[in-house]
Amino acid sequence: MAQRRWSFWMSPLEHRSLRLLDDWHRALLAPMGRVLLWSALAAGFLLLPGFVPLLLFCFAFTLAALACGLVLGIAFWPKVTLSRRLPPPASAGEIMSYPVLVENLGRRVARQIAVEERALPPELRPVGEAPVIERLAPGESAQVTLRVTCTRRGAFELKALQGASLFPAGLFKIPRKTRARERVIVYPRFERLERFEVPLGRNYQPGGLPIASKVGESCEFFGTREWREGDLPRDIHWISFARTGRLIVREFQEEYFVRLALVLDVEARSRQDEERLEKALSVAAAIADVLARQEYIVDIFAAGPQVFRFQAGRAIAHFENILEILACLEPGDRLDMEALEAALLPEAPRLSAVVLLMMDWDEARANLIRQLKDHGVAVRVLCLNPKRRPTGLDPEELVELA
Amino acid sequence: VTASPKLSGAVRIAQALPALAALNLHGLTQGRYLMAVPAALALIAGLARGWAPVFTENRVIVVAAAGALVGVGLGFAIPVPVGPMPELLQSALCGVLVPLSVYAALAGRRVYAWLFCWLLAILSMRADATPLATVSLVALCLATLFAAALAQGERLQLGRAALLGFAVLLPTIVAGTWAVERGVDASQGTLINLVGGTLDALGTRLKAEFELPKQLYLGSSGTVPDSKRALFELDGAIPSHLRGVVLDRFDGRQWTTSPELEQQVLDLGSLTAPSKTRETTALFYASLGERLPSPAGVRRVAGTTVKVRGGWVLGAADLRGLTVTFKADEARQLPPESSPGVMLIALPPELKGSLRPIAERIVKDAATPRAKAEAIERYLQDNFTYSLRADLTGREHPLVVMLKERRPAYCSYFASAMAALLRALDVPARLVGGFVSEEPNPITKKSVIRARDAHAWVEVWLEEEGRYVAFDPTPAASRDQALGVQRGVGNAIWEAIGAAFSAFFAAFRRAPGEVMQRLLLSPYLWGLIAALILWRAVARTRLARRVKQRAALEGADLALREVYASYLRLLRRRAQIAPAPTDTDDAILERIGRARGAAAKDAAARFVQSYREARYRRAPWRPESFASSLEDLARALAQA
Repeated sequence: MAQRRWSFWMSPLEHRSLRLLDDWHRALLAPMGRVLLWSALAAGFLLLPGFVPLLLFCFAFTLAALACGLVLGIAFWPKVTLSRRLPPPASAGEIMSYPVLVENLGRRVARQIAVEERALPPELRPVGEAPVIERLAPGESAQVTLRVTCTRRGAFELKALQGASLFPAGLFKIPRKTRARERVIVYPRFERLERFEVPLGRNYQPGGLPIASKVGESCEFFGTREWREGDLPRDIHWISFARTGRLIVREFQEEYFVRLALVLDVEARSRQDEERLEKALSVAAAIADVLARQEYIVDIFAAGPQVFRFQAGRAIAHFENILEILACLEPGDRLDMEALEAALLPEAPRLSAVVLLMMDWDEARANLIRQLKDHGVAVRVLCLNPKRRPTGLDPEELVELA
Repeated sequence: VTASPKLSGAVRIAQALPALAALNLHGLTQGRYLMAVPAALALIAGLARGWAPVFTENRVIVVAAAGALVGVGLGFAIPVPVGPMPELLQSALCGVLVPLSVYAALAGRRVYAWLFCWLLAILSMRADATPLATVSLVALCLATLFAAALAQGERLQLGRAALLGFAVLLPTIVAGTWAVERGVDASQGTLINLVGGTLDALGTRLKAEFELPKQLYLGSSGTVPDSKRALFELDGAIPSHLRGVVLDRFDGRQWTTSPELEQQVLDLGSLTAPSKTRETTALFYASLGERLPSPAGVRRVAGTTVKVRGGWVLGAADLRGLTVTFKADEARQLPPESSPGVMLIALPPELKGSLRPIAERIVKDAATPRAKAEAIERYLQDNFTYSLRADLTGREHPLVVMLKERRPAYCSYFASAMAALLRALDVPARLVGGFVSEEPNPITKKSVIRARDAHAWVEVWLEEEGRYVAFDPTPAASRDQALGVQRGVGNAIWEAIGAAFSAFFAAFRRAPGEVMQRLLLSPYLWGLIAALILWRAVARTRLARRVKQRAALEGADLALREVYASYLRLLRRRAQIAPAPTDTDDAILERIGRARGAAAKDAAARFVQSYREARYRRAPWRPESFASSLEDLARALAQA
């Protein structure tokens, strides 16, 4: 996932250095340890103008407690291994729960083992406090459930799992880390749409065999005829050629089925644009969900500075694959309209309809719609910029969000 | 085992104990029972009834705002003791923290609750260390440790191991607290200079200038800050006193410098050069305002431009990092001055009436001003005790209370008392503010002057000599005791290191280029670098040897190593075969065959084979398969 655009309002944890500090601070200090650390700093600061006996006592106690907690914590360093079992991907805004198996490989009883993820990306936030296993005998295993809130879509990496004993002081955590790197995909947040009306027309799909799956709509042998210039050599019917001495080719029944394009404009120049893009991706996921339940082929065009094209539906790719693609799309600084036209317009004759999710509305975009309509393709346009309303479209071509 | 937000009642109470202790401490030290007691009662009631309000940002803002309002209101009614920030701000902050601690504790947000209550406790610490306050603070510390060590999970950890751990933890932390307190106290000046110097180097102005007071107010009570912050060091002939300010006007409550003295400009060059002089060098770590503390009888000053005011007081700006040399008359006598006016015997009539009988009783039959001054000086030194806190509340003037009831006080009161007593006898006297020097460090032979060495004494006009003569009535022995002045070898070493740091920071700030140049040309630095390089080279050679020895084991999976260790343990216990580090697996198998027969050897070989597969070919393995192999081996060894 690309680094997010800087904003005054962004969460402090989105800054790499602060996140690193926060990670160390939380990973090495138990809740009371963190409190005592901040208290020691506050007391030390207030001691600078001059010593006050009670304040000095506070400072000394907090420092001494932290130092003793550290020394005693080292003595009870647990020897554990940890492994996680990740669940199916969650959507943004959901809580992902997964079990973690903890095994004590040491010769001593491990006490008060707090299990948590380390170096989580800012988009994944732990829910509540780390679960604690109170006692784990040598060789014994236990399972805890970790819960993580997925705040944004994307592909993230869980870098390390940590098991640390809080025993005996409950101030320091001397961690045992397992570098079990695993990839987590968080789908865009989406609400299920009951239906999404698109004009359905079946178009001729040359070369449909590789992309279609069901018998009946795929190529069926129809008959043979004389060779004509331009025919493919692979279609030569060699048996007839041997029998007649003339080039005979096979004829197939061509296939016709519904093929739709979903064009995603990923141009985002500001933080607000990025928020709108997230919304667009949620809408795209919901539309893709409706379409994927039908027997349609869906072409997804992600258009920014470059244009990426994916094909899904029928047997090609499942809805999960579409969501994975949507999860990993990154915003771009500009929309390269020429590249989009070069990718989309040649496909227009084979497309039944095009659904366009536009981040903005301008003449170049309007021109693209016109060209698509000239090819006889039905269009449905959703503009996510509330300040711009698409013009030159029929009311049924304009999609409004409820 | 899963994390559960449902905590037992005992855990909730244990986790709320620090908040209760902090509220008690706040009420006790700040006298704010009107806020602390209802808050504590609300917390207890909430815990008893099982209230668990939802913790939301909006509610936090509302609770904090309400608390701030109440805090400010209470601030007007019950002023807080002198704190590190403006009174009203401290009242408001304490007001915010009290209800927030309760709210967070009831809502089960223990980290917030603990943090709020500890901040509340720290803000309440600017108070006298009365036994009750100390006990309350200790209770807070105990509650904190109890909550941290025994209330981490869903229920209280009251098992044998947990209690044993707590029993070990407690005395360790007590000893640690004592050690840290002593260490910080002993190194206070160095630490503050180090932090201040570092922050200064970063461009902040946290460490303010130290300035001698331009006036001295005599209240019914007062405290002198015991700050060990180092200000400057003296080298050469170290004088006992360094003059910084002369206060000649006294209105009964306050000493100030008269405009005549303030505006008078003198010239050191006009003085005749003495036959014998003493040279003193001062290196200033900090700026001291416009004052240049100097020994009495200074004739020449080198290293800075000085202004000489009335009373032979020297002034210079921006002293930090400067080295100033004083050449003074060997006898350290002040130069002659014109005869003082009536202002130097002025005293409010009531005060004069109260002090004269006391003064006459002290001086008895002393005839000359010098004899009278010496008698009063001796009387105050011998019959009074020095204290950092002076409590002279009573129906009469504080000086009269002090003299009549022989209450302990500090230098300002002793000097004021002596000057007032002399004035009551019509002997002209004035107060002098400055620094008193400590004994030179036995290692560096230098004396470090700290903020706590700020001092006040008396200068008496002796008509027969035509000049002022200094007298110091403060009981020196009990002063050293009260200030905790330490004179051990360890302390001397520590002070020498601290002084070196302070001198370095001061010089660096004044002329960073010069200091860096000196540092780079220092043979000590290059010697240290050479030693470090040598040490690294030796360490690397040793490390490389160790890495080679361990390379075979380092790459192995931790669990796999444990499996192999179990195999070796089994051989040692069941077959008394203890392989040497140089024995190969095949050699061990041969030994097993010879000692326990072919069956045992085959079982061991099967284990070794599967271990090698997992270890070197990265074949997938399961702990159960190894466990069964080892069981087979154990059985074979037992049957042999």
